[in-house]
Amino acid sequence: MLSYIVQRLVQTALVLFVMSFIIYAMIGLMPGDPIDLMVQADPDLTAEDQARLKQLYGLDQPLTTRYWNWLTAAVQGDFGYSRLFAQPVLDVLWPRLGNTIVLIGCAFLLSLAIALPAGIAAATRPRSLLDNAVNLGAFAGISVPPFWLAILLIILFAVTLEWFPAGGMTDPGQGGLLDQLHHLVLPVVALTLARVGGIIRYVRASMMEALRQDYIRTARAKGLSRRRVLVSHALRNAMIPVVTILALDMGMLVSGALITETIFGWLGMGKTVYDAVLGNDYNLALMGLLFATALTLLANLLADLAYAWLDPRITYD
Amino acid sequence: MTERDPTADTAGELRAGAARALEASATPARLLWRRFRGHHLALGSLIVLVVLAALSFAAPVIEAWTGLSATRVDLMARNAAPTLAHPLGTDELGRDLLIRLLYGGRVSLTVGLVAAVISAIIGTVVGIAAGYYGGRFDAALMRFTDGVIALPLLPLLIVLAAIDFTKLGLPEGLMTSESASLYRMILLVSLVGWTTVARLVRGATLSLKTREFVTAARALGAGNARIMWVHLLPNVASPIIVSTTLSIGNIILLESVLSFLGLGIQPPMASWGNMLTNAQELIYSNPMLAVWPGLLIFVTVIAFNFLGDGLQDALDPRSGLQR
Amino acid sequence: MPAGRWSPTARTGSSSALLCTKLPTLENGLAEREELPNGDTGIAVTYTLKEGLTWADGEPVTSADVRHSWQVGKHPKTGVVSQQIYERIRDIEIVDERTFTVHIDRVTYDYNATVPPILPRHIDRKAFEADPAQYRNQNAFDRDPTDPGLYMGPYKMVSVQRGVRAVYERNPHWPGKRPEFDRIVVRAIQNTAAMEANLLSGTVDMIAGETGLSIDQALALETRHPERFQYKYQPGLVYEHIEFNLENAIVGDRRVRRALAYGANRQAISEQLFDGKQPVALHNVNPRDPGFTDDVKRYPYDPERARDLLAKAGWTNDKPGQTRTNADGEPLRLTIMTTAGNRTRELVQQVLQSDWDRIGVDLQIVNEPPRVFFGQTVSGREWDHMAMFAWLSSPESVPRSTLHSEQIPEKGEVGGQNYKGYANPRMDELIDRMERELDDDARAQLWHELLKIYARDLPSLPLYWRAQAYVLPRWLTGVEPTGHQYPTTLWVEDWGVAGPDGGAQAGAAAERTDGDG
Repeated sequence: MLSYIVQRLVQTALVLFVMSFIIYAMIGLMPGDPIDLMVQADPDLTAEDQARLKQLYGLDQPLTTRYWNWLTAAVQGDFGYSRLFAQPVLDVLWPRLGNTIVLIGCAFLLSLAIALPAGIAAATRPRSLLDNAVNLGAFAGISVPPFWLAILLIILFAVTLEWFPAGGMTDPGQGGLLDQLHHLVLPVVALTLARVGGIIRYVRASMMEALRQDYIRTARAKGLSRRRVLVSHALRNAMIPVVTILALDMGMLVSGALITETIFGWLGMGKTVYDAVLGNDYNLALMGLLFATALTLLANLLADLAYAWLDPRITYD
Repeated sequence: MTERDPTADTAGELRAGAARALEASATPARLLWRRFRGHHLALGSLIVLVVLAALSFAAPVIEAWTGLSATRVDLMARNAAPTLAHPLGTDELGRDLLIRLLYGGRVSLTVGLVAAVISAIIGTVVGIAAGYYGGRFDAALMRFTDGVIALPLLPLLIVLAAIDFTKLGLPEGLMTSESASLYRMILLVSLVGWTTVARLVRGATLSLKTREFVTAARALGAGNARIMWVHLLPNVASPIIVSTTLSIGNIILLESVLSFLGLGIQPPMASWGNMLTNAQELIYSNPMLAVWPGLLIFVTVIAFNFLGDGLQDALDPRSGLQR
Repeated sequence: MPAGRWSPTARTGSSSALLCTKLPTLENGLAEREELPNGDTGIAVTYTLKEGLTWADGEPVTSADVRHSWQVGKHPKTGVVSQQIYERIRDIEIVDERTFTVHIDRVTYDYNATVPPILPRHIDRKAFEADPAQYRNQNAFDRDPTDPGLYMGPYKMVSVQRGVRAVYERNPHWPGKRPEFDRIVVRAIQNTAAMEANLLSGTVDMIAGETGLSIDQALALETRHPERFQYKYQPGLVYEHIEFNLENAIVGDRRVRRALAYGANRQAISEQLFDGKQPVALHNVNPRDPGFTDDVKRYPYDPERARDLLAKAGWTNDKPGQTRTNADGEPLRLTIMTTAGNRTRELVQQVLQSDWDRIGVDLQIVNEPPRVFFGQTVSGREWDHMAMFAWLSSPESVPRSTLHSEQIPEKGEVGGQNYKGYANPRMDELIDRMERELDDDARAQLWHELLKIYARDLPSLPLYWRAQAYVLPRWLTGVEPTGHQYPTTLWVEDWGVAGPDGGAQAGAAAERTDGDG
């Protein structure tokens, strides 16, 4: 198992390296470099200005040269400056990564806390009133676009009821833990509602699938308690698809919480990477996206390890 | 159909094979349909979807027949309340909302269904192959999948939007027309959307391939392709169906998020997604502009998911025992 | 920064001019022509900084600061965006603590507005001298934006979370009128619906128009809450128009362009979509600009006339409900492109599509994400017929880069912004002359002739002047939207609500504020 993990980590590093070039190339292939975009905003910019700025930012060199320069510096631990923030890239990213992890972590735990019991309950009584209610709730969550959900939450809880702030991470002059938690509630709820429906459906489906298996019925026939059968037999097997989905969600959320972050003014990775990509901030976009890639790869590695734990017959060699 | 019992011995597998042969003689399609019919919610959903699709695809006919227009702007009748002439009222440019919803359904249902099915097919093939063969093959395929999962959508979309497809040899009429954004959507979602199914199928296959019935089939001389197709595929159908039916809704919404970012289906072509997005700023002044497409997406999501449930039950010969 | 003068509002646009005692002119002797070593005529302009002007850390603002700012801007490695004004300045001569003379290498109408934005030498000099190439990352505005020494306005920034909010407090050393508020928080909310919700929940008190709500959102808000807020709409300098591709055979024909102008009900767009708050543009010059004239050819909505013109241009076969064709049977099919995701432009496009359908023109809408549109399609001159976008100008800014024939960019080269490919010798001559004409009346005459040609030739189809919507609490007084490129907050001491002061902020920060309140 240990050698497998080591092997996977090596593969992960390799994928990261390849991805760094692909991402760099993709940003580079987008039409319009930062200077072209400046020209659009300012009719007074002369051709000389454009040529000078392109040279200054190294944009006059071919893409491969620029990538090579970035790579050689990065290997030595110099990830460069963000063009938009005029700060070292990691200084920009670390606090935002922290914010994102707080946001996603809370939403993740909340989703699990809702989806597992709801999905299991629905699966054990298919077509009951409870099952139908859980399904409808899940469908409602899936059917509402995230930006609508966020705006509706703000209108309900911030404008009408005034329970929670409409956005931001802290109130100026405050910033204690309580204040931060207060600001965290709505974005977490928005993210959770958008994701939980899908997870419930997977839990329910794979739980039903597991409950149909003969060995479960055998276990029941042997007189094992219903609870024991559910938890130690059915749930274990049902978790394989659920773990897969959770791992995929982890990876996608890092860059995918963009809408929630934008609307709630939450300073996270999604928004930062989005701005960096649109602003052609190569250094920042690249590192942000590589963080997201690394998280995806690690989450999937954890999922693979979890498979073997959930079903001991699965081995990797 | 197939065998799912992990504790079955070779004899059990043989018995199941015999039963399958019997069932097959009674035409599996008819059996499938018989079982599916018993699932009332699924049957109802199928009817709803067929009606929705029929109405949507008949939109030009309905347009010609009623004399309403999805594109004719009437600035004097903006945000009008429902009347006989406009059964659901008009939008912010005075266009008939009903006709626009129907046209929107054409786009949304097409994008959702086509992209979801293509994704499911690619994902299933990749997932079963990776899980079944394992080892280096699995590692290579899965790292490739990881890479695709991590591909940043935004620059990809912008690059795709900038590619001149006519230079790639595609007919000019196809990619430069107003529906170019539609093909782009389908292409993009299919390119990146298969990863979920691939991971799900691979996870399930990893577990299934160690079961006795697979070992037995191999002992009986079944080839790899046959094992994957006959023994593994039906057993991983459950996550595939759940994921595909869920993703139809997700894709319709993804399109809406992308038009929120200016990268989705472009006007004047309507889609439920971009209608929702445009209604965002009119949330107080004309909320119905959001309610109708929202409701249709909701109904579509429910219907596809129940349809998936029904299909799943129908594919599983023992599901009937539980009812 | 070419400072414009917004004469009708009696407010000088230039932030630097705000800080000087007296506007130097040739008449009052503070500006003098001088001969340059190469025989050209230049000009020397002498300014005096207002007394008591101080950075917020107590250091006085001096002539040395001005000279330092020019040196920073002129250096090719510091990354200043537009260098034009720094290059025109030959030297800045320090006369005394508060008096300095700017030597400019040519005599242009805006000679007394050519002063760089002032940087604090005592803080900023170190980073510049250490390594000019690293200045854009190491300058104090980016490294330590809450250093009070960076600010000389009524307020200073005390804390900032980039992309989220900035907090301003009074500058104790501000010599002018004491501003009303102890503290002002500027927040960036990048989604307009969320911005509105923040306003309604009381999280923000006001929404500034510079980057705030769209016009229809503000109008809808006003309908629902007419009493709760005060609403101010100010048409600004953002000129929304359709740029024709003049090299195209169809729209290269002036009759077709005129037909499109007659066939588009721009008045209805302005009145119905924008409630009249975004007025129809006659040409590229704003009604409040001194160069403005309305004595030009106009194109009121007249579909009959549009049809006549199209027939004259060869698009003769016109059957009701069908696309017009010419003698060869080719349909009159035009494409229009703009930035995808800009809802207002998309609405206008769809109205135009419907309008032009009535005169037999089949309009195809092909939009692209802004990156692709500006970065490739517009700058590469790759659009077929029409491209819809806006120019942001400053008052009296000479339209050289967009109308002079020397500014037509060659394929694949960096160059001017005459993307439409407009070439008219008389226009070129007018542009050359008006830059050097110092007499206000004579220059106005040149402007008028330029506009007449513009309206006659119609190189672009003018649409409307984009307006800014300010939503303010009822208790707030003295806010007067400027409607030009300098934010309303420059006059913060008059109305009490603050934004960044007159100091120069690096471009990075400006790109990132999408909304505030």
